[in-house]
Amino acid sequence: MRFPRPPSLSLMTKVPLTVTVVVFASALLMGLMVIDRDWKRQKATLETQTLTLARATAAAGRMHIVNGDVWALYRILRQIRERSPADDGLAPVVEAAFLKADGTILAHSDPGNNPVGLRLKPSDRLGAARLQYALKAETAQLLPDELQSQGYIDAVAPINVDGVPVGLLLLRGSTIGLAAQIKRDAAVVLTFALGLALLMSVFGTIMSRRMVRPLQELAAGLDAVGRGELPVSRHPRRPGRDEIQQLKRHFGNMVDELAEKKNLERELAQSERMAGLGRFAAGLAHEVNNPLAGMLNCVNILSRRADEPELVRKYVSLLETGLRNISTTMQALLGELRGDKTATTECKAGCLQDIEAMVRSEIGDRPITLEWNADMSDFQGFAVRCTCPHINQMVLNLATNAIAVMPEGGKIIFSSRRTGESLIIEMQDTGPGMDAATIGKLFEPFYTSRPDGTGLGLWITYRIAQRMGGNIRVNSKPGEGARFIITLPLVRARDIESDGNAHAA
Amino acid sequence: MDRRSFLVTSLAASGSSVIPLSPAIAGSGELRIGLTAVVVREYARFFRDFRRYLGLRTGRAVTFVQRRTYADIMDLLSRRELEAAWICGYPYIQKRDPEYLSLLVAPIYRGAPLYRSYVITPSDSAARSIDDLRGKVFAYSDPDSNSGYLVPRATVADAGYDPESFFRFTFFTYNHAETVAAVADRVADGGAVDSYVYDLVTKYETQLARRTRVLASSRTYGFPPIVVHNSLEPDVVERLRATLVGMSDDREGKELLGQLDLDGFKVVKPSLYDSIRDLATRLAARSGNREVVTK
Repeated sequence: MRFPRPPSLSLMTKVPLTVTVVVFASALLMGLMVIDRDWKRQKATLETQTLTLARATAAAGRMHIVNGDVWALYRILRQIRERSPADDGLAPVVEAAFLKADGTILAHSDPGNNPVGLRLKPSDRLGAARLQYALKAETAQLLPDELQSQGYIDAVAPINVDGVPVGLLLLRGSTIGLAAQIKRDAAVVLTFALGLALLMSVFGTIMSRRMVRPLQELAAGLDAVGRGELPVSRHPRRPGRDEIQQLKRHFGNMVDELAEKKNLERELAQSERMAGLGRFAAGLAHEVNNPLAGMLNCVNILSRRADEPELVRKYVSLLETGLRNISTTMQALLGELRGDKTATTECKAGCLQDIEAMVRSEIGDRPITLEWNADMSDFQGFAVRCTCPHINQMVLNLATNAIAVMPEGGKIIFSSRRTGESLIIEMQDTGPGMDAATIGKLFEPFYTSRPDGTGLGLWITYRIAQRMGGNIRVNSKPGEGARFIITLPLVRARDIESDGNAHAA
Repeated sequence: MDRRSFLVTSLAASGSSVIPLSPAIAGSGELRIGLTAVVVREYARFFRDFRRYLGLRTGRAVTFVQRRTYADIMDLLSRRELEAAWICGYPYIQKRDPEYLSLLVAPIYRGAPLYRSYVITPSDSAARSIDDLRGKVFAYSDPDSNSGYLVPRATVADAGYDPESFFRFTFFTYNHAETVAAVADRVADGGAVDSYVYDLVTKYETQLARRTRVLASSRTYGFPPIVVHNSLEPDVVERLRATLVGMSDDREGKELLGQLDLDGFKVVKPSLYDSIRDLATRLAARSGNREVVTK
């Protein structure tokens, strides 16, 4: 059978409770052990005293037995009975008797019930056994344990004259006074244990309060850290060697370090943003500056040879081409930076089917294998929140890059599939691959490794994927090709409808 | 606690050990007086005063010699180790050949040199007469005591019983006050005591006496007398007699008498003790005991 676990208690309760219980139990146990020892020791002393008294009394009565002086015998018994136990610490004698060797009473401490001259009449079977034993005893002794009665100590002292038994002394001491004393001691011990337990419970409560308060503060601090806040670090006022103080100090250090780390991160992000911005500006300047040199040259020629119509037409055409290049770049840049929000209408996943032809025309007659695995069977009831041209542009950008870097006889593998509520588009090539530094800057605008590239293709792809609530990742190592993975969230077709209605309204 | 109550306390609690008040040193000029259970013991201050009183008036150094039994005192007297003694009437009347004792004086108790023998029982005893003590335990004071031995045995004999077998068990306490204690403690179902001592116990040891009651009271007998050895010089005898008789006439003597609860001492005729002699003779005749021979 399993017992239900006791309810979990707080340290504030557990510590004083444990201290109290342990202290009470220890005090009680020790007290009882002391009492037990005391009881045994005192009882042994009482037994010794009883036996000694029996011997001495027997010796005092010997001549009176010989003389038949029963009154003198009685007075001896009266004297040992009347002795106050406080006087000499001897066992209070409750009963004593001088008997003849045949058991006839010579003197008894209770003469009214035990008349002189008659046989002693034991009151019970144990008493009879005691008498039998005592009459046969040859030496002064305490009666054996099995003949002793609870609360009494019985002793016998035979009295001999010339080796002939003439009588004996029976002596019965009482342990009642001792028992009463032990009871009083036990009451004192119990009171002491209770008092100590009470004191310890108060002490334990105070101690646990002092111990638990910093723990509670730590817990609150940890909660705050969990929420992302940084509490004001709480270093202990006095750095102590106690473990809780140390814990508190470590926690304070941790909070400080976290705060510093957060600051560093913020600074790093800031400087990266500035660096990116610098690269962007440099790229933009380069993009504009490149055609500018040729165009300035054209303007120079035109200004000198404006009378040659053929030449003018040719150079104006060149100027137009240069300016148009710049314009195209700026428009593409502006278009993406503006973020064309109106374009996010739903499109069927089926629009992917149209791109294959476009990719194949990009390859043209180059010896590159294209493997096209557009699995559209699984898209029933789903749609992508985008426009088909956007998807086409993303795929085409990736394919163009792959084709550009691909050596002769390379292979491009395209695949699309649904995983849960996501559309996964993968473009894998067997090109030269990229190192980590390249991958880090891959999606920045104007970053390009091709002499004829604008550095905007992957940046635009990245921006489209982001705008559609998806993302783009790349796996690549130098010499191992590259794999671009676009993940786009899918929506249920009916959600699109209601969304569409909402848009319409 | 006044002197008297202490006196009787000493009486009641006297032990068995024999402690002479002064050593009985033989020597001329010393007056050694023997005491027995009839009188008080262990009363040092009283005896110091009494010794000085007697010494000043007799011109002799007085010593009191205490023995437990009459027999011990009689033995000391017979060997002339005492000059005088306060003894019971029963030893007094016993035959000595040659007689070496002379009657000096007898105490006057409640107006006369007389006392009685009481038979007492525990206060709750069912006994109505001495007949009811048949087969019981009985306490005598001393085998040489009149009131504590002779009288109760004669009473039993007069009732038609054999004193030897009438009681189941008898013992001696050698002190009248002890007999009261033996009966009070129910060690004995009955006991014989001197009426003078019983009256003292009743007066000063009320609690003890209250646990007993008087079952029977005898006729009066001559009070235990003070005797002197015949070898004592006549002038000393006379001075001692005069001193004792004169005690009731001076303040100091009266005070000492008061502590003994006696009126005084007077010269009595030996015939005062005839009734005790008769008793002893009759009892001896009845039991066929010829050893006890009276004068």
